[in-house]
Amino acid sequence: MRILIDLQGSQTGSRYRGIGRYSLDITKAILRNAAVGHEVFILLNGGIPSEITALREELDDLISQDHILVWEGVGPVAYVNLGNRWRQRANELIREAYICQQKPDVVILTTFFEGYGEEFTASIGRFDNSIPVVCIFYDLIPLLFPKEYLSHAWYSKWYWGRVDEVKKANYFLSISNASKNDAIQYFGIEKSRIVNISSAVSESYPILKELHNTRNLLSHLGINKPYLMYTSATDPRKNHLRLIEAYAKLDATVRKGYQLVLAGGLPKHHLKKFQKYANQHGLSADELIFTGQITDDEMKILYSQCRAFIFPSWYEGFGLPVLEAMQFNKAVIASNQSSIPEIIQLQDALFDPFSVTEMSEKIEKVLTDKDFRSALEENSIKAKKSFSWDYSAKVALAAITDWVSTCQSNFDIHNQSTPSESVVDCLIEKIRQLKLPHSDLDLIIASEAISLNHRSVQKRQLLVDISVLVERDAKTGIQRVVRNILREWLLNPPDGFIVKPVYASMNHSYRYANQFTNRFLNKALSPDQEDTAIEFSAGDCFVGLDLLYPFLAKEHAHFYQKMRNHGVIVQFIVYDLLPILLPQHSVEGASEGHSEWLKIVSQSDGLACISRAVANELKAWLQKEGIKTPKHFLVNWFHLGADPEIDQSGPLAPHKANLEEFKILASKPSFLSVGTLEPRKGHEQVLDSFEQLWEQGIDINLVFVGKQGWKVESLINRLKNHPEKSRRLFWFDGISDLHLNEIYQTCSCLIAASEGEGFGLPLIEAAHHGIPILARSIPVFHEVAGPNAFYFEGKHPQHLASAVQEWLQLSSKNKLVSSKDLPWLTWAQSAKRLEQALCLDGSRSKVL
Amino acid sequence: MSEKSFYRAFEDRHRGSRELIKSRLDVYRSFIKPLIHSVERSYGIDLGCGRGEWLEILEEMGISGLGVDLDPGMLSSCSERGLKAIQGDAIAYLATLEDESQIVVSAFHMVEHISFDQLQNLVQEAHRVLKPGGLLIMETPNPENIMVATCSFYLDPTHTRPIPPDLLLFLTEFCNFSRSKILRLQEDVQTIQSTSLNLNHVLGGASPDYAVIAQKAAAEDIQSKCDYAFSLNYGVDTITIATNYSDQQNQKLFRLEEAESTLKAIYSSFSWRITRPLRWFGNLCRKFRRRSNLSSLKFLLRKRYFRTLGGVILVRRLESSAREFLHFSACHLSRKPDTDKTNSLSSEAQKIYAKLKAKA
Repeated sequence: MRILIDLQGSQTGSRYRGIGRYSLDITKAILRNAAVGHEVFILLNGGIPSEITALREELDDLISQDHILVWEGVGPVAYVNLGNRWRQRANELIREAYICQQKPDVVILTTFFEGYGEEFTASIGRFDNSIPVVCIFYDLIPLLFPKEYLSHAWYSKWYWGRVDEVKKANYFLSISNASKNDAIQYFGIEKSRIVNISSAVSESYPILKELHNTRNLLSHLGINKPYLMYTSATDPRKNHLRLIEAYAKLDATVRKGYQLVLAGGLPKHHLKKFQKYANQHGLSADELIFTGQITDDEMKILYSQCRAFIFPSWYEGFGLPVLEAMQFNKAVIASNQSSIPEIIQLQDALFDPFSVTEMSEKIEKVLTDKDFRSALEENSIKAKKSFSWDYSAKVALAAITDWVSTCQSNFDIHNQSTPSESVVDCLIEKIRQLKLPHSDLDLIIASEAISLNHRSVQKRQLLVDISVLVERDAKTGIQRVVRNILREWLLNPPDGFIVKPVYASMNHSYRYANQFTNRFLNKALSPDQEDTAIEFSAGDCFVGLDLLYPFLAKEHAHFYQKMRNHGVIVQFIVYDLLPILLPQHSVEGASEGHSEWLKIVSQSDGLACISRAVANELKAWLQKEGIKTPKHFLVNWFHLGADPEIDQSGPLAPHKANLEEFKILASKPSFLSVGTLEPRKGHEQVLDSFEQLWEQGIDINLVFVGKQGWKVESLINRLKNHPEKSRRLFWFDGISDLHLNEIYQTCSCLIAASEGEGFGLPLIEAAHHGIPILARSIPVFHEVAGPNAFYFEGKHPQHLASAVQEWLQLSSKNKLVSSKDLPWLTWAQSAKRLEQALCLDGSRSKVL
Repeated sequence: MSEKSFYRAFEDRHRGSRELIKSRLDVYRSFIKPLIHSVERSYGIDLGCGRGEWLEILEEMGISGLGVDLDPGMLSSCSERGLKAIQGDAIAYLATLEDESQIVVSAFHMVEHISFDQLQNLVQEAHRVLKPGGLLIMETPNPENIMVATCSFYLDPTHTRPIPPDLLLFLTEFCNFSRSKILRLQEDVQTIQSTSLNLNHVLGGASPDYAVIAQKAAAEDIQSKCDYAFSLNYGVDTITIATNYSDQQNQKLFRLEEAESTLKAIYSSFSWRITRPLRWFGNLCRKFRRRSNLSSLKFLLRKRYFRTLGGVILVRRLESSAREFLHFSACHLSRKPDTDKTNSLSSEAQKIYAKLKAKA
């Protein structure tokens, strides 16, 4: 049987309260117990995105991710705002149509009375009636106490509307026998259509083995005697006033030895009322303790230390605190009303909550009569065993299976299911028939949602983000990587994927980059190939290949979350952490910007760095910043390709052959440094060290090739006004590739003095040209060149000067290590390596 | 000073001309026109008819209208034009009408003069006297407009208190009208179209008036005649304007930041440095030419520099306060569509959108 559980109860505000915890616990129990013969799906509301990631992680061990379904709708839909009516009705239809398409045999609603002031959508039978709906029935508190809960006219209207709707459900699971009887009596539900599956202590409520800080907590709260404990909210039905009165009625000698502790937060006016009432009945402030808001752990401590527990409420759906107290094997006395007797199962422990005398007598008995108390404690140990989530889940599954099979035939006859091809058409028709005021924006968002919900099964997409490249090719190193990886993937898509380049801007969200891709592949532009918004479904992969500006990433951070919520694997490429690690060499504000960007992209499924060194730096930074990453987050690495690129940038710069220069270069050992002149590349140190060497009379050349970058004014000054300029010191700015080639041929050694790099392409270029390498000893250079280079350490010019001298000595003895064995990848290989780093073949540790 | 003459004098100063008021009432024609029966005579009643502008319109449309107003001076303007109007308490008169006798009951800038109990009474009685498919129209100042809600509403001392559009709408729902709609009216068209909104637009640009039109339940063929009029959108509210304003400010800041970084790049560029001697020389020449005006020129330049800087600071400060102001509306409007229309949807979604929008 295909079971679909609507788990919105764990998404709304209820997730902090009983209903939310019940929903999650029963769902987990059903997943555990449904292994044979049942296929279980979870349904989540995409319009409440904040908890979806957490829920996916929480259920990860019990269910495969592709069984968690997320539907999108329009918003806001809260009832309290009159302008939301159309959206509310449209959302109900959209949700039911989505369910219809999944073709479950039964739908279980974990909660129903929600959505007055927040996002929540659940309806029954508004789209079609072909699928049986089971609803968990908690209690009828507002219905039975209207003066207190339904005094607000609008709220009351909403509540009655929900009552009418929930009665359309086909089957009910109640959380206690008492609530089952209430449903039969007040809702008119037939006995055959409801079953009691009871309840259990929350799974997130493990018993603490050692309870630290017990004494601290008790003294902090002013508890210095054995105490009687009660914990609950402070609605009138919880009966606090009578409890205070009953406690005050105790014999004075008895009262002296004990305290009454009311645990949990309460509104100020309730607190004042209770204190006043206590005063009137002669209870002093240290006899009656209000703890105020305390944490779960502190509550457990109080449970474990109390002398006895009392629960005088006169109406409950279940009465969980009673069961919680029993977990600690405490004596419990309680009211004999509604569902509470079902938990305690011992007549002696019960009293009439409306009789102060009876309550008072019971309190006295449990505090003073040791035998009575031990009998109750024994009862607790015994009775708590009959409550477990597995038991509840088994009862629920058995009852539902039975009922569905007996009613199956009836269902098919009475209710025609909508053929799958026309679910969308039927949905559109029903929405058009809604005669409520709405705006164009609502229709647009509804269309978006419907197309996403009913996307036909297609080949998996590899969505490649090339946002910056689409706007303008700035010819940076990063853009070179993006161009090449993109080209490789377009020509050789990874197995099982279709490659779709996408882009976003500040004005619009992600779209397919159809026009750019056509130009990129030199295909003719077809007129109807517009750049439309992207579509996605579970199983697709999104790769943030381009490096987005931090503000652009921030703008679309929620979109990345939305994709992840729907089961798209979202990963990003990290090129380097240089603005963070070397902030003194970067533009102002770059460090904060890069930090922000990293914080956004680390809330994804994984990051691929362009070298192992960067991956290590990234892991260290994440740990240092204490950033929590999602459950199956991976940091992988790959290497860039180094094929000589087919230069598509247009006509080559005119090449002025200067024979004089070449004669000078070839006459003595020439050391070459290639790369934009910026502080982190270490040109200052190189120049300083060469000045030292020249002073010492060593006759060598130094060649810089590279554009002027930022923050290098003083260096440029020195280069221009240097006495050795054009004699032994050369700077080539903006030269053609042909010219650079010739320079490589003439030089003897490449100096790589960067203080930090993402990868280290210059080393591979040197290897292509077969000249030896003199590199700074940083992890990434070791990673790229391995033993095929000569390394130096130290930031002082002296360090480099002595390294050069050493190098010259080795060179004269022909003992230099050559660079020709330096391993490098082609872009095709690099792209394949990247596919592995991104786990596109599905070899992730998490189940896909 | 008698109350009557005070009010007369006040009206003379602040009420618009007859033509202006009539032109503002045109928007309601499209709602009423479909309901007019070709053979039977249709009746309408206008509560608080004033000088009879609405009665004139009803007459032009072929409806037999009757006006009720307390002020005899107003009524003379009606009778001069041959329009039927009587003096008396409008709500009391409404109670004397027969069930299902009118096709339109109207109250223009009237409901803000009465208590809420009287208003409830009015709506209930209106529902009773309307034929199936008939319309109740109530127009009143719109407190969504901040200037209206805080100041101009109270210019008229006989106004009781502003009525939020949702309250009036709910009241009609509650009294069993089958559908109702809010029309926001009389806004400056500039406010919707302008690409350079300022705070004045945010504070006072929302539609200063609004009307609630409610229709009594009727058979499908009668009710559907008004479908088109009910489907259109009218006016603009403060949240929309504020959002647009904030967006425009963001754009400006973004361009400013871009310009800043471009400027930085220029200043640190090679070509800027190379041309420095040229600039120095040019300044020198200019100095010699305008020796006398130099000091005043410098003063002027400095002033403009500060003004620009101050402007930037002011914009930033306004930006942050506007951001606070818009915090709740950011939650209200969870999403907004992309600025260009069709590309903001995927191709599948465009097809669905087309189907949803298609006329029946």
